[in-house]
Amino acid sequence: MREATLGSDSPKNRQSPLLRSGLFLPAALMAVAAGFSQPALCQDAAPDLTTVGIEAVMNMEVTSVSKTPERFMEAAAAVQVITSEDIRRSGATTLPDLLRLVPGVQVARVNSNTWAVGVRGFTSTLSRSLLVLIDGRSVYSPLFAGVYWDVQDILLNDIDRIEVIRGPGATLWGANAVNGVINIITKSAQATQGAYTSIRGGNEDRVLATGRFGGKTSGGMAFRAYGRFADHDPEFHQNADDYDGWHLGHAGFRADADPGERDHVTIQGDHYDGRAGQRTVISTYSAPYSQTVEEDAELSGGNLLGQWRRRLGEDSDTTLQVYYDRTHRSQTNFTEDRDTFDVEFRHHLRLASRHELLWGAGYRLTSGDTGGVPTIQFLPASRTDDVLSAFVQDEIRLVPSRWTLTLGSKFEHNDYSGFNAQPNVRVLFSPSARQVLWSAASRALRVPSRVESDLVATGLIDPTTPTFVRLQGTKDFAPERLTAYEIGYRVQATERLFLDLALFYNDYIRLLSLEPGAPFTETSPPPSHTIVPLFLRNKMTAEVRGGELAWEWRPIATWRLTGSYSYLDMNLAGAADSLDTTTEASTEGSSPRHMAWIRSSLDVRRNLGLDLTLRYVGRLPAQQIEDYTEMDVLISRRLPQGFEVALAGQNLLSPHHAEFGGGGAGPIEVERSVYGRIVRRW
Amino acid sequence: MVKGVRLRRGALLLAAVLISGGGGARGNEAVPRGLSEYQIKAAYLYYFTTFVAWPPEAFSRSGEALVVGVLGADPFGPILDDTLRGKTVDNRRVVVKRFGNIRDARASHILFISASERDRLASILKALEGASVLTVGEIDHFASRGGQIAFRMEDKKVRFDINVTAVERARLKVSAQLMKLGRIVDESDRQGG
Repeated sequence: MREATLGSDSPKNRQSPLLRSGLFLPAALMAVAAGFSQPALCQDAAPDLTTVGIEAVMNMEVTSVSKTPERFMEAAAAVQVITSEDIRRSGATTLPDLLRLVPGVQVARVNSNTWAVGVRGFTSTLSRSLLVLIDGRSVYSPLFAGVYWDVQDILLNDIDRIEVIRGPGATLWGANAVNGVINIITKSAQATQGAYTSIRGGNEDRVLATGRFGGKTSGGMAFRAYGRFADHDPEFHQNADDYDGWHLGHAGFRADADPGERDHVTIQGDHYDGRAGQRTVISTYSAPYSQTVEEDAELSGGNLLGQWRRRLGEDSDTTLQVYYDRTHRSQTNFTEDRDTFDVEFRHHLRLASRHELLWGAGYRLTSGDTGGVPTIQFLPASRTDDVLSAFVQDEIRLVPSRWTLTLGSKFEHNDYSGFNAQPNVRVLFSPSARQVLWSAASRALRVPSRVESDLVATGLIDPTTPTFVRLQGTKDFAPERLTAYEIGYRVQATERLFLDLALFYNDYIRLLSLEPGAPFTETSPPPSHTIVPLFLRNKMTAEVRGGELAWEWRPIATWRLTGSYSYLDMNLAGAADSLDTTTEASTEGSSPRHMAWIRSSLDVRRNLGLDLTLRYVGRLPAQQIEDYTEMDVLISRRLPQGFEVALAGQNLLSPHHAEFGGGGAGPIEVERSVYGRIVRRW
Repeated sequence: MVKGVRLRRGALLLAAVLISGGGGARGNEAVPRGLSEYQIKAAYLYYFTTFVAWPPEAFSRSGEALVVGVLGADPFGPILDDTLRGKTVDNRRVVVKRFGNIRDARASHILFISASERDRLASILKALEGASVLTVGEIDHFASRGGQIAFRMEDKKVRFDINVTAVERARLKVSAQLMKLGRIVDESDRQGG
């Protein structure tokens, strides 16, 4: 029955005699090759290539270069890949919103320009234990230990794929890849030839305009240059205090060339500049002791990255990557300018056909200058740190196509905690070609950031006395340590049903705790005031258990139903001598116990797509957030002449809903959003 | 199914509002873009069924159907099934089968050997000796290591190599057109591997 209904829409039955004859395609391709405007190139979800002739197929370019599913089938880790097609059909307008559809990942929008993201718990606005990389460049801030999501405003259309690894990835990626790694890989310049423009407008994403041009030099180097501007409306505030609108402009380029048969060189760079509305409470030692300022933060930054890959032979290749990254952030209560230089070398080789060896070494130099107000200071204000690292991993095919053992470790030396090792062992068993069972034990560290080491932040608690609380870093703050045990099962149950289950037990020690000290009176600066010190120490431990089940079902070729359910049980406890009374409840109550989503991607017609997503996130008692269910819809239509139009609705089920706590004035609520989008490709 | 129809109608209505004047099917101008490597490789496997002639005894085993097999981790997902669904070649149905071991895979007419099998390639090819199976693979140097047709990427296009000696050994006849389109490789190009 299904086939019958669909049959009327299937590409085969609608082909014109011209196309069926096999003449049209070669003619069209020749026209494209000659640089003429194409006669209506339209994308097609499932084109029928069996009617166009083998010569035409030989000349077709692979334009969707997403990794083969088989590769992730064989991964001995909980990996989820967001493909460029997923991105196109998600309707998401920001990077964190894209991550909502990864099992085990919690994304909460705190306000229009701030997100709290957590993987397997520990959700916070800075996502301390999550490493985010864009084309191999770390965007993890060593100042605050976390990611500023507002400035990771890359062109979603140019993303080739996003690999999300739940669980420790420290052996390959290094420190801070504790709870997860988000690895964003953009398309090569060869894959983005031609022009692309996209304009969105709506009630929340007021303007989102993107332009890109890709070409080739006579020497064979492919390049692209792009720009993007985004202007976002504030979210809903109970007190109508709409301070959180923001805008950001972003421009960049990428060039890819193959100077020799064995070499591939990439050079890319970006620059962004923008302003994000913030509401900041600043404490002062003199009356009135505290004031609230609504002011835009100034955000800017840029980077330049070069990568050189060389194939040494059939079984060996090397990669050398160098980048420079600069960020500037100027908020009401603090500023930071940071320069980072990073160089990394990797060598991959196959030995005796059974060993897949990967080793590498890297060096990172990062230097930050901070400024601020008397009550928020980093001591010293400027600091330069370096990290020296090396890793080795051997993937051993014990029994080819059956048992694979992976052993590896990262070794790192940093200025905060000295030398450390982060080993892991993984076993993969494939009872048949369609199912995989894997298990892993790994250790990962989150190295201290400047917050834990150097921060002195003072905030008013009682203006009558006056009394302040002072958060104080500890120079000998030790790295937080995770020992993780994971097990997973993946099965292509039928041709159309794929299931992926991962279970984990995470054992953390030396987690950040806030230890109160004896109150004292401070006379300078006058007037004299009482200080209640809170020292940042390592006196919490945690046991976290959970699991994620993800499925993909394609009942028919044009309909894809995906979904996931995640369960999380966090159990923090203070050490015997810990006086911390807040961290346990605030951490446990900021990540949901249950999360689920289901998504339907339907090709109603060959050029008309309908995507529906339902998301459920459980309650967050520490944030005073109730559980919620929301729905997103995207209707996209491809038109002749390279046009594509779409209408998207996000968070449609209620006018506004809160996702995370927002400080004193109560949570800011995410509003229902509707936008239209017009895309044109040449 | 009813739900599918409703969804479709609803979506069409919305789309009509959205795209005034743009509604209606325009299937005939569609040239595929956004092609994945495996959509192209699946199409090749279809064309191979039409360009290769099997000896008559090759069909006694599996009745009338022409079996396209996949050995090892399947990189196609549903693509291969979608591509070959309903196809017939010389009045034989084309069916897709997936195999976990080489013993069963001998029953195929075309066998796609997945990259997951790269360490066992020599033993797989040895096990296929005497069977009229067209072996197709994407492992490096597949054709020069004794496989018959090897996919390779040329810029962004999928092309293929043919090892004529191996094809003849399997008593298969490849049409002159296919020979012309592929790059002929010699087994002596690379031994062992």
